[in-house]
Amino acid sequence: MMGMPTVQVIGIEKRFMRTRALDGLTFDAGAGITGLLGPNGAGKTTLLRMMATVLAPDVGELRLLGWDPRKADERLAIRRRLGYMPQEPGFHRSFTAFEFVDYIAILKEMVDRRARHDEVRRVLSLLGLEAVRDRKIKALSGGMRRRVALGQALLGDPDLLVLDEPTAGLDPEQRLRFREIVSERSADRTVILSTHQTEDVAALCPRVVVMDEGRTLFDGTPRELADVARGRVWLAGERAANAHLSWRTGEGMHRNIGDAPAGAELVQPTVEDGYLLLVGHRAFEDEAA
Amino acid sequence: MTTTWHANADLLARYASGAIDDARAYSLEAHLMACEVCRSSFAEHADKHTLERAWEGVVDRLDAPRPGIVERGLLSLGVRNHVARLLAATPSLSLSWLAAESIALGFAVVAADAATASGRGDLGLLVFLVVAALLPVGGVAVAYGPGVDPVHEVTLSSPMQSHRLLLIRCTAVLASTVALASAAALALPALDWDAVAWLLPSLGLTLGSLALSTWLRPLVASGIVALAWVAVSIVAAFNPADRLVVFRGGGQIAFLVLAAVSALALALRRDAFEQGVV
Repeated sequence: MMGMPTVQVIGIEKRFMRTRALDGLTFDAGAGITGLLGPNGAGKTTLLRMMATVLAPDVGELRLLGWDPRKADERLAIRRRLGYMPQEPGFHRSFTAFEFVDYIAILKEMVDRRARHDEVRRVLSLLGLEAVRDRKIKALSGGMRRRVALGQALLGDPDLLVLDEPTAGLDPEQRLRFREIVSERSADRTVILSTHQTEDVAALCPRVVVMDEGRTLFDGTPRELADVARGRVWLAGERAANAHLSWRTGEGMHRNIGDAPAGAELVQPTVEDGYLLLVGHRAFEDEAA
Repeated sequence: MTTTWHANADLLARYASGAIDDARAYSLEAHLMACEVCRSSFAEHADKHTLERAWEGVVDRLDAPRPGIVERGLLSLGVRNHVARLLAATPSLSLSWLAAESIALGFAVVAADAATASGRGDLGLLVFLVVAALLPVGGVAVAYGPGVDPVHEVTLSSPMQSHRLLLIRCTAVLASTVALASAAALALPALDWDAVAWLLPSLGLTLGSLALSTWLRPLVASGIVALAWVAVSIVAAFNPADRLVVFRGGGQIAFLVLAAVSALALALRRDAFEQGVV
């Protein structure tokens, strides 16, 4: 547990037509980075949209930075301390990168032109976007747009940062830079990060929550998630019959995950192994569906 | 260039503190441009903090990118810089949208001309009035909301109240559309008060669609209002006694009531825009 909880999710349920996106989810988070892992449809984005105050739960309670987003004045107080990067951030494509971030800064009540421009320059510089700041959004690469989207979320150095798959589409160098930026801000701020990248979770998050079908499957540290697969990952010359999952590595050996046979060559499990052991079966279910 | 006099310390100090009148300030500024001695003396009187702020302001002005054409137009009309940027992001204030509105109005005027030439002037005027009243509804439909604003999700999560942003944008959309439709009305074959009979209906329909947007998505709400309006107009077009009946006294009062009721509903239900309900 990381200090006092700044995010409390209590018995949240949400339905979209006949689909149950969240099914009595409960967890809390404090200062630091909490990583949300889960397959597509696990409910991560629905949960993050609630934390960004743009979606209300059908059932359950949510408290963000100590406030209740259902109450107008408290919701405003949350929004004043919130940075949000949606999974599919949209852009006004005719704006330049500078103009776009400046536009979001205005939405964040930064009215004084000079102070606002200083803040826009700060976040663009932080993300290494100075050289392209006067380029139209429509002329930027996908990775650069992703950085612009992250930049708008960092405006005003928010206390609660909600990031939905922020590293999707970033190259390895950009991902490292992202980790640097987010980790620098996580000491006394709350960062909730949804991702498919188990390496990001292992590298960044002191805490990880694995979700599936709108519920919490696992809540602990990345090391504890890796330990889920301890004694259940082994290398063999071929795919083992009793392996839940198996793939041929670049070195020609099969990495098997499941119930290891006696005498198997066990290896150190990773966060990915633990995650796959929990939800790997879903990949095959999705394919079958 | 040489000068024969130098400003005294008292004058320079009063200029630095902004305590002299404009005429003397202009005169002194002209002298300072030409006199290095006085420029050096002036530096001793200038407040460093004020100079730094002025310099930062100059740097910011030079460094900030030049705004786009719509934004520059708004700034030249005296709109404040942050409001101009909010409006520049409004799809229905883009040049392409305004051009499309102008074309629609142009067709309506041509139709009115043609109908008048064939002796059915009231039908031509009806077409123009229906189109002119409908355009603001369309403009407002694409001014805000999911599906039309690509940044809607982030906008909703920001502290700027959505209903405030919506009203700022809708006011600008209404103003631009009214200006275009009024200009088009000048080209109508018979210019009289009937040419502005679309004003109240357009206000009523626009506010009606906004009020409905507190329950439905703005695009859906505007679509319903537009369809209802076109249906009513078609029925009116087949009224042999008076095709313009919805624009006469009774109709105008009905739209006034619709506008008032819608404005009240909008004020009471404005929180619906803040919660991601629509």
